[in-house]
Amino acid sequence: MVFTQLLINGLIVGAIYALVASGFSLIYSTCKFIHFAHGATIAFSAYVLYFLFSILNLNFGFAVILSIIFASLLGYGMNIFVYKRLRKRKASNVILLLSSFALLILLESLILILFGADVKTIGYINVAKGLEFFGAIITPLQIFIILISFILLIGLFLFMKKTKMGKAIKAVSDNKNVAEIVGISSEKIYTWSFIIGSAIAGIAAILISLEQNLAPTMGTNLMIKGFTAAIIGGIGSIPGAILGAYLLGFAENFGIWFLPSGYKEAIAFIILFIFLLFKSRGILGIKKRGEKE
Amino acid sequence: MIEEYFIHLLILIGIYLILAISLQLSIGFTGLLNLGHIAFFAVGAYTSALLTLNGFPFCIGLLLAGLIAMLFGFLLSWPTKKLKGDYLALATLAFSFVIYALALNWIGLTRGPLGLPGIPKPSLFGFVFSSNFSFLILTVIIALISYVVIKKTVSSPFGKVLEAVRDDELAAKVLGKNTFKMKTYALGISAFFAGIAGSLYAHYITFIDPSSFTLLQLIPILTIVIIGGLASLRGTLIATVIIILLPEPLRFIGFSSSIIGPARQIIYALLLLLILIYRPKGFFGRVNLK
Amino acid sequence: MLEISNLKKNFGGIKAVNDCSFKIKENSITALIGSNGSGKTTVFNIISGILKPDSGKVRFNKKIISEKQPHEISNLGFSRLFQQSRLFDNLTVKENLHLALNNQDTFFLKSLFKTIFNKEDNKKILELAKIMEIESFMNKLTKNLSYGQKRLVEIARAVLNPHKILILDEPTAGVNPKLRKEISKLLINLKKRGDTILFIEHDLNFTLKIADEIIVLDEGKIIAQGKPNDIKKNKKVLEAYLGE
Repeated sequence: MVFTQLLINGLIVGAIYALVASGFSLIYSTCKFIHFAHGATIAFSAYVLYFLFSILNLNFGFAVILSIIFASLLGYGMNIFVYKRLRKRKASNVILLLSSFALLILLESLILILFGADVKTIGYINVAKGLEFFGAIITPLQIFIILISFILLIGLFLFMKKTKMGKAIKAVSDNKNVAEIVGISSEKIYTWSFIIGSAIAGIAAILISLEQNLAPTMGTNLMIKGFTAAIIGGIGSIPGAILGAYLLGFAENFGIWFLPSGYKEAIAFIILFIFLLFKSRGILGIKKRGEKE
Repeated sequence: MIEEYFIHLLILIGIYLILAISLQLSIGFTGLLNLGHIAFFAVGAYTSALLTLNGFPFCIGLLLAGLIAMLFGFLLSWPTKKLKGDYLALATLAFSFVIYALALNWIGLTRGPLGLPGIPKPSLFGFVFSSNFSFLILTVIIALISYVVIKKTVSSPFGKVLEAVRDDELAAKVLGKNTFKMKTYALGISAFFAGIAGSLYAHYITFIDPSSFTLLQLIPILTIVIIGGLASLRGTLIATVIIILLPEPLRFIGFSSSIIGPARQIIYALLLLLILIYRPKGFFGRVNLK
Repeated sequence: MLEISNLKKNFGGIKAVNDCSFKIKENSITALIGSNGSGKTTVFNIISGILKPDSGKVRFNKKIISEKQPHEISNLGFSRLFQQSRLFDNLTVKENLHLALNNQDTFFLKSLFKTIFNKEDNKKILELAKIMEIESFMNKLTKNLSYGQKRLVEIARAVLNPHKILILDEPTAGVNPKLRKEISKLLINLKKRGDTILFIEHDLNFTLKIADEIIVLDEGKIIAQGKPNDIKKNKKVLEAYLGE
C-alpha cells in the first residue's frame, strides 16, 4: 500500500534527521547560537569513514569508531578555534552564524579538493532484498537505521536526565548565569555539548553513508533538514527536534503525493520559511539568547 | 592573451561590484542580513535570458531583470516584519533555496538542470556587444550608474532613514517613520540592482543553470561586504577588487580547475573567518554587525 | 485631549497596568509618578502604540488610537522620549535631529533629488540647538557623546518632532542639577508656546515645581491625582513612597 510505504520511508529519513537535529539542538540549547557548520561535521565524518574503510581498507568496526571520534574532534576544534574566540570578543549571534557558514563552506571545499566532486559509495552492506511489512518494503539495513537511531535517542534522553553531566547541560541551557553561580563552568559545558553533539552527528554520518551515496554537499542538505526539524519542534529543545525530524520526514514523503518528486528537497525549505515566519518558537521551543518581551 | 584575461577579470569585478553594493545597502545601511541575495541575482539572470531568448531586445531584458527581481525583493520584506538578526538571515536563506528549487524543477520555464544555453550577446540601438572588450564597456557603464545611484540613495535623507531603521528601529517608528515600508523599499532597490547584475552575468557567460545560484555563490559577495566594511561603499569597491583578484594567482601555480574552484572558496571562507574574529567592522566599516 | 480609559496590561501573570484611567488637558504639564515597577513606562508604551493593551482604550481628541501603529500615532501628533537612550548611534547629532523634522525623507524619489539639509530645516535645528546648548557637537556621532549630551540631543529630537503632545520618560534621569534646571525651563517655555506635556519622573522636586497636575501610580493602579500641593499632603502617596 502506498500509504504504508510513505509512512515507512518517512520513518527512515525521520530517524536520520532526528540524529542530525538532536546533535544540533544539543549544541544550540547550551551555546544559544546556530551552529550551521554541524552539517560539515556530518559530511566530513562520512568521508573519513569512506577514506578509512574504502581506501585504507581498515576493519569496518574500527573505521566506524575512528570516524565518530573524528566527528567529535572536529566539533571540538571548531569550538576551540573559532567559536570560543568569538565568544571572548562578545560576538553577536549574527557573527557566530556567519562564521558557522564560513566554516561549513571551508570544510565542504576541503572535501571537494581532497575527494573530488563525484559521488562515492561505501559498499559495506550489499543491497539486500527488502522485507514486506504491511504491504510496504523495508530492507534490513533500514530497520537497523531506525533501531540504532531510536536506541541512541533513548540513550541521549537517559544521559540528559540521569547523569551529572546531562543535568549540568540542562542547567546551562535553562539559565547560564544561575548555573555558573552553583559552580558549573559554562565553557566546559559548551565544550562537552560540541563533543557529544558532534559525536551524534558522526553516527548519523555513518548510517547515512550505509544507506546513501556521499556527495560533498551532503552536509548542507542535511543541515537544512536538521535545522528545519529543530525549528518545527522548537529550537533548543532536543525532544522537539526529534519530533520535528519525524514530522519533516513524513511531510517530505507525503508531500510528493501532491508535488512533483523533484520538489521533495524544496519541501523542507518551504516548511522552514513558513515556520520561521509564523512560529519561530516551534512546538516545544525555548527563548532565544537575549530575547526580551 | 593577457588582455582577454584582464578584460574578463574586470567584467567580473563590475558584476560583483553591483552585487556587493546592493547587498551592502541591505546589510550595512538598513541592517537587514539578507542571505537570499543570490535569489535576486538568479531571478534577474533567468528573466533576462528568457526574454532575450524569446526575441525581446536586450534593454527590455535588462530592465525587466531589475524590475522582476525588485518584486521578489518586495516579497522578501514580509519576513522582516517579525524577524531580526540571525533568524531573518535564515529565513532569507530558506527563500534563496526555494528559488533554487524552483529553477531546478520548473522545467517548463527554466529547463531545470539543463539550463539555458545560447543567451544572445547584448545589443543596443543596433550595436552588438559581441567582443569582450565592448562588453566590458557596457559593464563599466552599468556598474558606474549603479554605484552612483546607490551612493546618492545612501547620502540622501532617505538613506538616513534607512540608517535610522538599522540603528534603532523603534526610535524611527516613534519619529513617525513607517519602518516596514522603508525596509521594503531597501530590499526592493537592493534586489533591483542584483537583478541587473544577473542580466549582465547571463549575457556574458551566455549559459546559466541553477548551479550558478547557490549558497556557494553568495560567499564571495558576503565576504566583500563584510571585509570592505559595513556601511561603506568605498570599502565595498576596494574589497571587490581585492577579493576577485586575490585567488587568481592560483591559476598560475598550475592547479587544475577542479581544485581552483574549491580553493577560492577556502580562501574566501578563511578571510571571512579572520575578519569576523579579528576585525568584524571590516576595513572601512562605520557600523558593527548586530 | 488625551484620554486613557480602563487600561489593563499583563505580562505573564504580572498585572503591570491594572485598570488605569486618566485625562490630560490641552496645554498642561502633567507628571506621572510612582515607584519603580508601578507601570508608568508600560502606560507610555501603550500610548505610543509600542504595546497593545489587553483591554481598555486610549483616545486622542476623542478618536481611539490604541489599535494604531507607533508611526501612525506619532504622525497624529505624539512625540516620545524614552527612558533609555535611543539615539541613532552611527549618525551625527545633526542627522538625528533632521530625521525628526518631517517625513519627507521617507519618499525615495523625492529625497533622491534633494540635498540633505535645506536652509529652512537647518535654521529650525540651529535655533533649538542654540537654546539647548548642543551646537558645539552637532557634527559628532551620537555614539561618541557623553550621557548628559545624549540626553539633551534626545530631548531636542523629541521637541523638533512635530507634535501636539510630548510624552517624556524621565527627561532628567542621571542629569546634573544645572542641566535639570535648563530642562525645566525648556518645558515651561514649551508650555507657553502651546505644547501639552506628559512626563514620568522620579525627581519629586523637579516634578512639584513645574507640573500643573500629578498622577500617582502604584502597582498599575492610580492611587492619587491632583495639584502638586494636594499630592504633597496625600496620605496614600506618602505611604506608597515611604513603604519603599
